[in-house]
This record gives sequence, C-alpha cells and structure tokens, in this order.
Amino acid sequence: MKVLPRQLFQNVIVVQYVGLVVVTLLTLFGFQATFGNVLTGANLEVLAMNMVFEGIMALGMTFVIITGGIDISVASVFAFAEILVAKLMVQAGLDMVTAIVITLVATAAIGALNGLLIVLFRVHPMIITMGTLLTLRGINLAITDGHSVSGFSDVFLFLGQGKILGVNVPIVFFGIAAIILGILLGHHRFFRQLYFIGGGERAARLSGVDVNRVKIIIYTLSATLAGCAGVMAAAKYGAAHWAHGNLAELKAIAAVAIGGANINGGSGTIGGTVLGVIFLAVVHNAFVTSAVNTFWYDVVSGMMLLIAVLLSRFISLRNARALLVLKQGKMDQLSETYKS
Amino acid sequence: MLQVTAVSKSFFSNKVLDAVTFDVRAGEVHALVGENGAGKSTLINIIGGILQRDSGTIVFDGKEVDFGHPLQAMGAGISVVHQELSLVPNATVAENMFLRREKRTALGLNDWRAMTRAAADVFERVGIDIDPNALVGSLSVGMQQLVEVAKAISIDAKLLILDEPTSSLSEKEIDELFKVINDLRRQGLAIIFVSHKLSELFKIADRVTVLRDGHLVATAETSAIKSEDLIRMMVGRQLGTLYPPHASAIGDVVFSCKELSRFGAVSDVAFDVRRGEILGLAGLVGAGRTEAMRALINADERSSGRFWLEGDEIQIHDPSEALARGIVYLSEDRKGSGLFLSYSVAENIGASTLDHYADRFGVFHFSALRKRSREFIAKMDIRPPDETARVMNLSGGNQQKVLISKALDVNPKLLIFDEPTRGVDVGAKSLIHARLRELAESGVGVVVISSEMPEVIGLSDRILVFRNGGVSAELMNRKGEVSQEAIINNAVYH
Repeated sequence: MKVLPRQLFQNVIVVQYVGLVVVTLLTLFGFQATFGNVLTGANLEVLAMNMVFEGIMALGMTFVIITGGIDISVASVFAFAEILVAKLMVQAGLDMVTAIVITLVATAAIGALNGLLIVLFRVHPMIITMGTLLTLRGINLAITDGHSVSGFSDVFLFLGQGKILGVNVPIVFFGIAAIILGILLGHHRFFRQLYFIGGGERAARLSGVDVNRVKIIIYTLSATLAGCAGVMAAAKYGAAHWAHGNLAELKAIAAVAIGGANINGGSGTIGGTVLGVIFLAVVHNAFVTSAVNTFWYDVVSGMMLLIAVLLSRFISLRNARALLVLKQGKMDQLSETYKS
Repeated sequence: MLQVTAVSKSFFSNKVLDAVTFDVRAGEVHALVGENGAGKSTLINIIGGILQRDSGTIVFDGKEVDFGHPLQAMGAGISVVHQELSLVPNATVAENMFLRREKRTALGLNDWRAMTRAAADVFERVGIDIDPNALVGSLSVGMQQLVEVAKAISIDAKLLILDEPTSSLSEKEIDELFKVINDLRRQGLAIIFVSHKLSELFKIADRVTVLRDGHLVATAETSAIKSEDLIRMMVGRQLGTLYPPHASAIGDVVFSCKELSRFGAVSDVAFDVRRGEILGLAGLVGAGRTEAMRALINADERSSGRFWLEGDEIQIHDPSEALARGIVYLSEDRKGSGLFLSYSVAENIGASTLDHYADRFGVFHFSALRKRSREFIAKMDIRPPDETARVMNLSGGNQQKVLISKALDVNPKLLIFDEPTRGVDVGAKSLIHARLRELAESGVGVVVISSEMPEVIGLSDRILVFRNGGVSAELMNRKGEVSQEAIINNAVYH
C-alpha cells in the first residue's frame, strides 16, 4: 500500500464544515424569507447573546474533548462564578476587579482539582466532573438558599450589557477568545500536544509529552472559561441565580460534536466548534422568531447532532470504499501486466 | 559508546535483571536476544530512562549516567523505538517527528515549513522517500516504522535502540529498514537491535548478547556463532528438532472453499484442507492471506465464496455462524480481537463455549469451567498454572496458549491460525507447534498463516503462496517442492 491521497482523509472534515455552513445559511435565509424578521440587527443580537455563554464554554470543551476527555461540570462552575462574583461585590463589598479576580482564581482551582483527580486516580473524566457538577450545584443552592443575588454597579453591568463598537461585550469576548485559542490550537506546541494525547495517550507519554500536566492545565482552562462566562452572565442578567446555565454543558458538548470533533478524542478544531455554536444559535433563534412551538428546538438540535455524527461516519465509509476500488484497480492492473 | 556494568532490577521481590554487563560500540549493530521474560525489555527501558535500575553503572559516551526520565536519555543522545508504534495517525509525519521539539516562528507558534524541511533533511540522510506532510495514518505500517527510526535519529542520537522493529513488517519492508540501519551504522551510530527472529540477527548484527531469566548468558561475534548455539543459549537446552515431524498420513477433505473474493483485497481463492495435514499460507504481508481468511468467516464482507464442510455445502454469514459450525479463526491480533485481557484464564477459555458450562436451566457452573481450564493448563503448559490469573499478567507465549485453548474448547473442525507464534518465545513456540501437529493428526483441519518463512516451511505439509490477492502456487512438502526460494519466487512478481 502506497501513500494515499491526503484528501481522502481530510475531506471528511471539510465536507462537514461546508455542510454545516450550508445548513446554517439555509435555516437563516429560509426563516428570513418566510417570516422576514430574522435578519434584523436586534434579532441577530438576541440570536448571538442566546448562545454566547455556552459558546465560551464550548471553546474550553473543545480542548478537553480533543484529549479524549469530557467536562460536564462547566454548567455549575458557570453558576458558581455568577454567585461568587455577586456575593463578593454585593455582600462582602469588595470592588469589582478584586471580586472578578478572586472568582476566576476560584473557578481555575476547581478546574485544576478536576484535572488533578482525573490524572491521579485515573477515573473517567465523566465521573469526576459529574461529581463536581453535582457538588457545586448543591453548594450554589445552599449558599444562596435558592434565591438570586443582585444589586450590581453600572460598571459591572457593562460587562454583560455594554457594547464595544456596537457589539455586546460577551460576544466580543467570545470572538477574541475564539481567535486566540484557535490560533494557539492550530499552531502552538503546547496545544498541539492535545491531539497526540487524544490520538494515543501511551504513545504521547513515550514521546515525552507530560500528559498529566497538560490534562490538568486543559481542565483548568475549561473551568476558567466557564468562570469568565459566569461573571459576564451575572452582569447580563443583573442577578446571579443557581439555576442559570442549567444543562449548558450539554449544549457546549453538542456544539463541539456538531463542529466535527470526535468524542473519542484526537480531532476537533476551534473553527468547527464556532460553526457548531452558530448553528445551534441560529436554529434556536429560528424557532423563537417563527410561530413554531419553541419546545421543538431540542428535537432539532438533537437530530442535527445525530446527522452530524452519521454524516462523518458516512463519509469515512465512502472513503473506505474508494480505497477498496483503488486497491482492486491496482490488483487487476498488476495481474493483467503479468498474465503473459 | 555504551557500557552497562552489573545492572540489576527487581519488581517487588521478583528479580528481572541480575548483574547484567554488556557494551555497545559506535558503528556496530548489537543484537539483544532472549526468550520473553528474559529481561530484554527491562534492560532497554533502563538504558532509555523509562525505568530506573536498582544497582550497577551505565556509562554512555564517556560519562556515567543516571536517567530519571526518557527525556533525559533523549537529551543525552539515546533514542528508543518501541515495539508499539508511538506515532499519532491524525498528525503529519513532520509534526510527529518534532513532537516536543517543535521549531518555532518569532511569535512562538509552530513553524510548519521549517519542520517540513527538517524532516525532509532527515529522510534524505537516511535515504527514505516519504512526504513529511502526509498524515501518518495514510502510511503503511512499514513506512510508519521508518518514520519512527527517522524520528529517533533526528534528535542527533548516538545510540539507537530498536525493540522488535520487524515484527509487523513484510520482507520487502524489512529489507528497506535494514538498508537504513546499515546506513546509520556507517555513519557511526551505535545500534541495539532486539528481535525474536534469529535469521535477521545474522543478516544485520555484528555482535549478539543473549539473556536468559535476567542473567547474561554470553556476548559473541555474530560471524562466530550458529543459529543452533543461540537457541541453546536462549533456552538453556538443545531443542531436538525445531519443528514436529510432518504428517504421517493425509486423509480426505475436511473443508473446501471456492471462488472466495473480497473486493479490493482477495480475488478468486480456492483451496481444500485435508485431515491430518497442516496447510500453510505464505506470502508477503498484504498479499491477501489474512484478508482471505477474514472474508471466509465474513468478518470482512466478501463479494463471493462457496464452502463445503465435510462434504456438505454450507453458508457462512458471519463469524458466529462459522464458530457454530466448528470453524475457528484465531486473529493475529490476539490482544485486540482474541483475548479478554482483564479477565481470568478460565473466563477466556470458556468465552466461546459458555453454553457448555450451563445446565438445562441456564445456570452457569463456574466450577465446571475451572475444571476444564485446569485440563487445558496442564495440556498446554500454561504458566502460571492458575486458572484465575488475569490474562494481561501472562507472557505473550502463555497468552497465545490460552487463545489456543479457547479455540480447542469449541471442538473445532477447522482451525485457522493467523501468526500462531508472533511475539512468542522459543520454548512456547515449539509447544504450540507440537499441539498444532497433534490437532491435525486428530482429524482437525489446520490452516496456519505465518510471515516467518522457517515456520511456515517447518510446520506445513502443503503451502499455498499468496500474491496480489490470489493464490500463485501450491507447494507440496511431500514432493520436495517447498523451499524458501520457491516461496519467494511465487510471492513476488519478477
């Protein structure tokens, strides 16, 4: 077997991206043509703000999933950050910057703890982060008695409601974070290690990758991004509440998977995840703006997830078949040549 | 270049290396041989910094060294190519080669172009023709092995350790690899070469060191020693004959197959298997032997095929149907698709035959399985003789014996064994050969696929040579048609 054409392997992902963009645009313009109220400035803002926090979490989730792990604790880390930053400002009377710094450090510590437990005890990340998810949700409830915390300064509210050059601050944050993290994931030696860990952990270890250290850092990053999202969410809603962000982890994971990452690790890109986030946002918005019952939203995003997975499976099967045709052709040619 | 003196290592109370002393010179290929468990892997892991020694000294390049981590060893110029490939299929060749040693642009990001160029330079130096930008997953195993070697020497290695580099390569790929090794030797590298295939050592090594049970047996010039001497040193006893005698009587046809094809891999294969004989399938890796047998049980979907078992035409829709009819295929990948590594010996032996150990109410009687397993342990000389031992803790040879026991428990009519002794030590190897011969004598059809030429010749009464997805020749041992030359002649196109 000689070297196969590279595109056989790579067009799996390209087809998926193109397909995702096409479906997203079709949805967007389809609903615009039917209802005429999708492509308005105000609606696009609503559309984007609706998924932006899940989107920020999905960025960290991309890294985690590439290493072959998963982090389902992000939703309660998100709510915890909301509550912590709110309490520090409103009840402890700290100034905004100190409160935010403490909050982000706390969420980073939670992530580091996730990573530490995962590498120390070699327990599946699903179980460890599920433990964190439940524990933290309980803490969120207990320290707020189930009530919301509010009473923020205007400066703080700017982080969630303000605009820079006409764009909402959280969206600006998401955009900049996506660009920086995307470049790092594509071209920085630290982040390239994620693919090696996800592709073959033992091999990565033997090649000198400090797998444990990388994993701890990645879970820390994931939790910190959820923390950033939580701080901005508190500002956006003007209040912190334990139920905010409930099930956000599933949307984040779905965005990463729809964006073409293999849930078993070894593949995935920030660009794909961003497309996945946009797709979910558009579909959700289409339901909200149309007369269709919004309850159907989950049905559609669930089906899209299945279609995305089946599509990538279909394409790899097709590639395998193309490969067989290639080989059979070579075999036939060879026996023809030597028949005489 | 490397001087190892009186190095010992114990795991718990088990001494796996006992005061081993040996040296490797610059510009030499030094072979390290011994049965599985002789301590070869432990020794190279200590030299490579993966394990730490308990006592003894290692002097490398004139300095006494004590590596705590593989990276330190690499930094000093020691590179290990492990038996399992350590490359990531989804990354390019260049990225794999420079993992952890990436070339950077001024911004600190990876400089892909510089890495591509550097990889191409290394390839040129060793004379390999591989595109640095190809994804590793798109290369054949042989090519990947060469990438591993290139990666290993790209750190300016002075000592290169190759752990069974040829175990999954075809003859042609081995030649390619040996060409590269010869080149590196000329450039003054010291090379340690671990292998189970003795014929290879004589082709490539200058000196050979034999280990047995953690002890050093001897170091000798390859030119001054014979294959039989090596085997005697490895096992500590002379193996009377390496292979059991050939079939005394060959009976009627047990199984036949016609028009067996799998699109893109196998075309129109036909053969008979007779009682009492061992049928060997020879050919280069990728010639379609494994593919044909997998298509036979429909593990890979075949495009055509007709089968007769004991005279009756049968259908084989899937592997479980084949098993139900007494056709057992033992995969070359025993760890991946043969055994349940984390289960006990007994559970593995009964894995295909759970029904045998259940009464008519469906209640499973583990004691019956354990009793049966103890019979197999005695018959196959499985060590440790403990049916509750977990298979993952057994050596390769003993795992293979468990795999055979599992197959025998089915009471097979046809046994197809793919690479029966890959990664198996010499002692276990001759036991497996003897059991296969007994099995054939008892009337079971036995088909053996082996990439080891001496094995397929020594074991088979009849050999089918595969080439390009089809059978190119049938050689009868009885008629004296079997020889290495005859097989190679039919395995390649001239």
